[in-house]
Amino acid sequence: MTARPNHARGAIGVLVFLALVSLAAPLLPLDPTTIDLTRRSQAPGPAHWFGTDDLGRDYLARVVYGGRVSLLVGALAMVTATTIGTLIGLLAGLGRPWVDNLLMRLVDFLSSIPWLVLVIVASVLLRPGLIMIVAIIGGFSWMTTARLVRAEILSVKQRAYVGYAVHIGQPLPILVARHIVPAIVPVVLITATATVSAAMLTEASLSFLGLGVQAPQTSWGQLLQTAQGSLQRQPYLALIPGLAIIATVMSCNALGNSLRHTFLREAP
Amino acid sequence: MLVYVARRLAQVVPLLAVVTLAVFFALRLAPYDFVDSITTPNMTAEHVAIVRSRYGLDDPAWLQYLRWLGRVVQGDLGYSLASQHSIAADLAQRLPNTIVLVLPAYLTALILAIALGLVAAARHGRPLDRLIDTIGAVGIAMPPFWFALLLIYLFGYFLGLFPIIGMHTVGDRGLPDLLRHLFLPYLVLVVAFFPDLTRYVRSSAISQLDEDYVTVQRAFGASDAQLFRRHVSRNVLLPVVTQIGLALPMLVTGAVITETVFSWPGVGTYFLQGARALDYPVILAVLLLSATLVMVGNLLADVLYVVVDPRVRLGKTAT
Repeated sequence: MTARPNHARGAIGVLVFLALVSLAAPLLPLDPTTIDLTRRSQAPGPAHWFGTDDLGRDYLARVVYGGRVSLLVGALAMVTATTIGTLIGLLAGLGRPWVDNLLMRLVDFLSSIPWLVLVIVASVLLRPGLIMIVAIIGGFSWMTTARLVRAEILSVKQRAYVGYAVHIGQPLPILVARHIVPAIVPVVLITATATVSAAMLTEASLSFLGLGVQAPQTSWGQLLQTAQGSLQRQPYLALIPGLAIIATVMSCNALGNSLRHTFLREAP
Repeated sequence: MLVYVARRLAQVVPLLAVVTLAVFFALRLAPYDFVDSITTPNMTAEHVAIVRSRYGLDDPAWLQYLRWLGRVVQGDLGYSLASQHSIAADLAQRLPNTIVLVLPAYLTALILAIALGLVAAARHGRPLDRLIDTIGAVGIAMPPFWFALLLIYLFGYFLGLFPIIGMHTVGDRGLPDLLRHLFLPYLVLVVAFFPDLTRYVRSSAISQLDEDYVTVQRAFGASDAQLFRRHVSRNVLLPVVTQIGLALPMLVTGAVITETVFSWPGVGTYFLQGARALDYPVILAVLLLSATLVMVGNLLADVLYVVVDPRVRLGKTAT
């Protein structure tokens, strides 16, 4: 994605809109749960903008409430992964060589199993509720962050100003807070946007396979799983949540690119 | 070179042991096991205990692990708890199905990515580049199973052109029939694979444009077409070759979701079935296979890089 300011503005616009709708959902005249068998499988119309599903539930409301779960999982998994990744990266980058070695072997080890396979095994084992899904996705998504943070620290450590700070005897906590942390903030932020995207796509995949969010709770991936059954009659039930996922993930990625452009002065 | 490969392979073995050990004990930690999924609540406790001991599940975990490992070393992956079939035989039957799907899709995506990536780099910043970039951005953000649903609706239900389930029509083992079944999942995988690869090729090509040799060629009056055909494309292919090594594990697990959507009888559906039933020999076998391929793939990537780029030499430090 070419990082131009209006791209980032569009992306932020989409994300803010989705966040506002999700937060305000309980205040809106939306009812995702009432089953009305007299209105089963209706096509989109003025009463139900996105139509109704096979139990007569308003699909717009289902999509909005599904989005709440998808976005929440994406955001919380990102926070989990970014926290773990930053801490491990800091430990590896600043710790003694054996700590660094041990942690990097752990990263290698976790990266040596195809990711989807790892996540599927974990979610089968842990019969997930929402918190478990966040823990699984977040708990297995921190490796890139850790690698990048560590690499950034190793390069910062070589810079002259850090050398001087060590030389004049600045204590480690101050050194880290003043010189190391500011240097890794851009990397952490940029990776975080990518982590949200990846987490949302993973949640969608797991829920689609029936291993993620379980009915009666819903998410965009879970809606897609349900829509698969009525694809022939009501293809729009599959179309809408998919478009919502694409819009969100594209916006996160565009935001990440824009951040990269701003912080790192990297050519698009 | 041979010494290097041998040393790397020697590092692979302990890592695999750790991978299997971790997964094996993780499976033991689950609050329920395979026996829970085949027994019913109205069986007596003794009956359940007999079932458990028949599968060797009442032995200590370390003994079960060693027993499993001992057989694996002899090339025996054990038997599926659920179907009693030999896992090695099941995999031998399903692996070709997955490869027949993933390999053509990956190669198509790779060729497409090289072409698009080079074109985008040559038109860097211009409308064609932006178009390719936008297509890539959509492709990366799109869940493959959603694209699969679109294709199923369009080609399967609406146009009725292609079958949407399985690999063969019953009673028809011919190649045309296989190709018709292959088409939709193949298309899904191409679209899933190419965006990342395109970006990779594009950014490698753009970084080549800053190199001295490009300036020199331009100074001698080389046209863009000559420059790209004779110089940039060759240098871009170097890192692309390493991508092929890294893609090796996809031959096994690159299509778990796509296979599921199309009920393709490959390793992905097999693994998912096994995982759902907590059929731990099956889970372990697939994990072992794919972790092995990841490590062999990484090694292959490094070796290929040395083969294609004579400047790189594997010194004693290159581990």
